[in-house]
Amino acid sequence: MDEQWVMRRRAVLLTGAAAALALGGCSATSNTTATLDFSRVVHRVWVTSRTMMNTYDAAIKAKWSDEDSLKVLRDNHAKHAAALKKILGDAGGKAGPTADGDANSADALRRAELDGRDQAWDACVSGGDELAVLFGEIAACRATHADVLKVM
Amino acid sequence: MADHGLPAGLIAEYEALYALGVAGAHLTGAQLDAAKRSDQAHRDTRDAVLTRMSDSGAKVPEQQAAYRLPSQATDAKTAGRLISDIEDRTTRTWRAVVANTTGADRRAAARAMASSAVNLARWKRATGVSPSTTAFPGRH
Repeated sequence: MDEQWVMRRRAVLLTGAAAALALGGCSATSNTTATLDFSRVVHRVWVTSRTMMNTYDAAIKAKWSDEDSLKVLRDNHAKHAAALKKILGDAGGKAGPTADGDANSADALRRAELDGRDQAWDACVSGGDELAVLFGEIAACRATHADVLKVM
Repeated sequence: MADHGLPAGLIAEYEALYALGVAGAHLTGAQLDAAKRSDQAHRDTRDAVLTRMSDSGAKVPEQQAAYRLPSQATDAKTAGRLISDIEDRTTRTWRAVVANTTGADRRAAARAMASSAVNLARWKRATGVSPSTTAFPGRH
């Protein structure tokens, strides 16, 4: 992703957050509201990426499938999380999600991937033009993961 | 100016179906099965996009008798490369359509992009390419 764009977008997000604080939230302008909605959409998809990373870590520890294959899927989620975190900046929080999903079987992971795919499709349509392609890529990647898990 | 909306994606689906027909003649066994599965997925996408465009009153591009392919298929090896090339190209086309549409058209494009990415990943697995998945399908 273009670094200058990321910096500009982050500046807009932070400006919007500052404006919301100054205005006490209730009287925020429509632009600020749109910016905060945008931030929430990005945050939700980022949380899912982080949660999936944790879930794959647990699955790898449980050793119910080939470690290398699971690690590839885990690393794809890590790349999504990194890309989304660049956009969020400090707005994403430092600790991130800690809850793990169900890592006990390929079926459980597959269901989580399909839910994540649907979430990214929704973000692709509702999250604004600038990030539509990124969300489309994340949805497509999660769809390929769900398909891989069918044969694990 | 070229249309980068659903018509561009639909034409990519026509091209993929033509390419799979050409390549399939050189394949056997598990690879032929994978090609047939991909063919069905592209037919499903084509039909869904055709329905969406017809319902919205958009002009639907006609399917041509033949298309210029990204590579030639003369045996199983080159047929495999053609399928890999065409699935990649179709995914990239739908990725561009996502960027150039809004609302329900964008959702249709994102679904088609995911379907094509799944086809490419399946084809990689059928031909022993690892890893079969990538974090950002359609990006180069």
